[in-house]
Amino acid sequence: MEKIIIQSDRTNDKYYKIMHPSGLEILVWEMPGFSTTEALFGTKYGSINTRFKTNREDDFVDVPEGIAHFLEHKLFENEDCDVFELYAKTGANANAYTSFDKTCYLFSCSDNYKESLEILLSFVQKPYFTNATVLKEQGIIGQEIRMVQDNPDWCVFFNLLKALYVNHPVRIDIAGTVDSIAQIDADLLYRCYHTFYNLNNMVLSIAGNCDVDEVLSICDKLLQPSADISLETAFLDEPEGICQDEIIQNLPVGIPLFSIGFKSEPKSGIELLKAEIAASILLSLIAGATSPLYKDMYDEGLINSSFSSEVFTGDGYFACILGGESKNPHEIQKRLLAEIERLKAEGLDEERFDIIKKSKYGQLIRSFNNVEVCASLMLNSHFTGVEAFDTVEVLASITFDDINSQLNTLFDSQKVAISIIKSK
Amino acid sequence: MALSLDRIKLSDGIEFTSIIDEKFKSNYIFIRLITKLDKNTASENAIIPNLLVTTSSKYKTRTELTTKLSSLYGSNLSTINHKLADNQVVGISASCICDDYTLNGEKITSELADILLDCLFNPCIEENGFANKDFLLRKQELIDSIDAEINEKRIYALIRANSTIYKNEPSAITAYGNREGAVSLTPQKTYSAYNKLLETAQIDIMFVGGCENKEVCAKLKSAFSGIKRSYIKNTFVNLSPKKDKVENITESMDVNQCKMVMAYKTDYDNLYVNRLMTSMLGGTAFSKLFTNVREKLSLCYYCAAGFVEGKGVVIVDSGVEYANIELAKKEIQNQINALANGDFTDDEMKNAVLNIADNYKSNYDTCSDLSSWCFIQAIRGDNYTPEQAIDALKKITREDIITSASSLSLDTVYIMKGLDNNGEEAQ
Repeated sequence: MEKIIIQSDRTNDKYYKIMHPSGLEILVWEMPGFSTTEALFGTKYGSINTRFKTNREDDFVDVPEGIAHFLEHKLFENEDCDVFELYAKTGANANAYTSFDKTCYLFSCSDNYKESLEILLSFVQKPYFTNATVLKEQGIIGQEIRMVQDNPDWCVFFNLLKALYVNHPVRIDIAGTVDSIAQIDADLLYRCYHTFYNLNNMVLSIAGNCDVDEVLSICDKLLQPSADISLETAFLDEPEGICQDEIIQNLPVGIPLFSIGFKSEPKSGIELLKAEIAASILLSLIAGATSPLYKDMYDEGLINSSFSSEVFTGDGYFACILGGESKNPHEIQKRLLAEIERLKAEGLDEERFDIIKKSKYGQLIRSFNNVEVCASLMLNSHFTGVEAFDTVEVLASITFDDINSQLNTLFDSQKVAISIIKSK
Repeated sequence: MALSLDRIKLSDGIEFTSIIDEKFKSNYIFIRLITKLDKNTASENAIIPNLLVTTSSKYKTRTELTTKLSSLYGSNLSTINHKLADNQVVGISASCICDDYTLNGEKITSELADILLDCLFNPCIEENGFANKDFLLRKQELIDSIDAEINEKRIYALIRANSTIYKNEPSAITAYGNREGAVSLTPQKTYSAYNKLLETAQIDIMFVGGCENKEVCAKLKSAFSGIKRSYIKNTFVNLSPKKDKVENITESMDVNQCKMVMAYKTDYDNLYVNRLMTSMLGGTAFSKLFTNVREKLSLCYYCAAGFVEGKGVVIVDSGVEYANIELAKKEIQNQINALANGDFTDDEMKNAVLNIADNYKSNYDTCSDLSSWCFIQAIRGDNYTPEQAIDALKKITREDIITSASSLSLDTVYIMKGLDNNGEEAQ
């Protein structure tokens, strides 16, 4: 097995990339001096992957929403015990999460990382479902679905996605719906598990207090080779335009919450990374804390410090989102659109571009201090199809012209929607 | 551990700590002012850090200051405001990348320290008060924060429960104070409160980072050495008195899932034993509450326990369907009884120690965790390293856990009652 070294001359950091014979890609970032180890075992299978095809199927298959998240819950239950009981003996903190485009099982620990890694690799490769345990989980996840409906931050975000996207499953709650999870049974879980938990579709990312050879020795012992099944995923065609320009929901909140999104063309690989960084700089230029728009809205009391922005991307979706608390979200939307039109007509501020670029560079360097961030960065980069240090390189080399050229495409005033949560 | 720690007393109630660990790529400065939590002053103390990080004598607008910080490779000034038993801790933290990582060799740490000190000691003042325009904006923001407490229901349930758990005690309020207090703030009153804080509060200054910076440390020490002081000592252990009768509070809200907060009080004052007992009860995914109440009986979506240091209170908070409330309440009590009756294995105890030990050691890995650890150790007066704290945990016996759990008595039950499936108030 070849250990390829991926290195950053800018930060003096490096990690190892190994293609294991089992089909799994392994990424190891040894961080001398750090006490903790963070390990992520992830599959490129999230809530949006409801349509797939392998060499076992003649055509694409559609499955109910919420299975990726359901599987995440169920894998923690072995045939003979609960996985947390195993971790209890190592002292590690274990968890898992399902996002739109991936499911990850993780632990962090300061001691006994090898024992914890053995647990992680073993239980994720050992599914055990019965219709009785599936039935019990339907109740638990049903409660989770109801609980997040009480969370206004969650609702304002998902309502925005419903407004922006017409067909793409990113508009559906990660956990699915009470109706969709009612259709899940043990057979369906096994089918999706054997499709997406194939090691060729997965990655192990481990950072911090660890040793690459120790990690590989455990992997050699525990990884069960997977045959490549030619997995393909697909989505219904998504129109360029948005679904609806506004969704307003009533919930008990102290101050209304809002989220404004600009939909744009999805991208992949290095082009996605470049567009993400450009979008992030543009968001700071348009409405960041140093922008004239932010100053005006803040001084008038239209926004408060909760106002923030993010670039939301994944397989088949790309949106620039701004949100926070305000008593007048529609006025913010109006000002935002006017400012974007002004910048399109008058041009962006190059001096502020230089400052923002420097600021983002500093924030990135700081994130390399953090074991958890480093492990996540390797995993996310792998699923995007780039290397972890490409972010630093793309950021360091991005020019003012690059940013200018993206303003029109990433902030199209015809593809904007607003979501608002307010009290009755 | 390749870490050097140096702690010195600058004057009465002011201490300076420098912690250097070469693995870090960033530097942090923490300035913490600790004072008694009081419903009459909490709001003015809460707004002070927000005002200090908005402007300074050199950078007179928020935009100017933010732009300057951005140009220093995304340096940051953040506010600190939280409760610590019956005390309020307010302050500022400043952070930047280490000078070695700047693209053109700029020495930004020293420049950031100058900005921080200018914010602290030369804020924008008009007519003997904080500059009015920024003051009004920050005041509205504080009021908004108090109004928005209702948004996150789990936290809101804890806030509501605290007002009964700590009835007539300082801890009954949040670190933001109440709306009335925030509305009544004036620039003059707040500036006067700030000067009083500098004079009377316990002040903890820390430099934590990846490279030794004697120039910055000298600046910080010098700036705080000369200030006028009339220090008022704080107390950090003030056990909450047990009520004669359990207080039950039920409030209705338009929520799908009910929230239940149960507060138990103890006068058994051994921090590490209480921490370990609480962890065994509901601090991990293998604790009694998680394993039994959530997993085996499916009574709650979440059910966790936490120990409130300095107050002797164990809080069990849960998200529960209305129909399951009584059963959940009974089962939570059963798990406490189990610990009190010694119905736990040596492995349960050993595993909880392992988990806490693991968390303690992880404090070495970020500047902010390391700072928080050293700060709380200094407050306790122990100055334990994580390893010394782990040794203290390992000495705890089964009998200690039984004593701790047996000393718990139920004090308050708060329920946030939701709606039933028809949208009616649950019955």
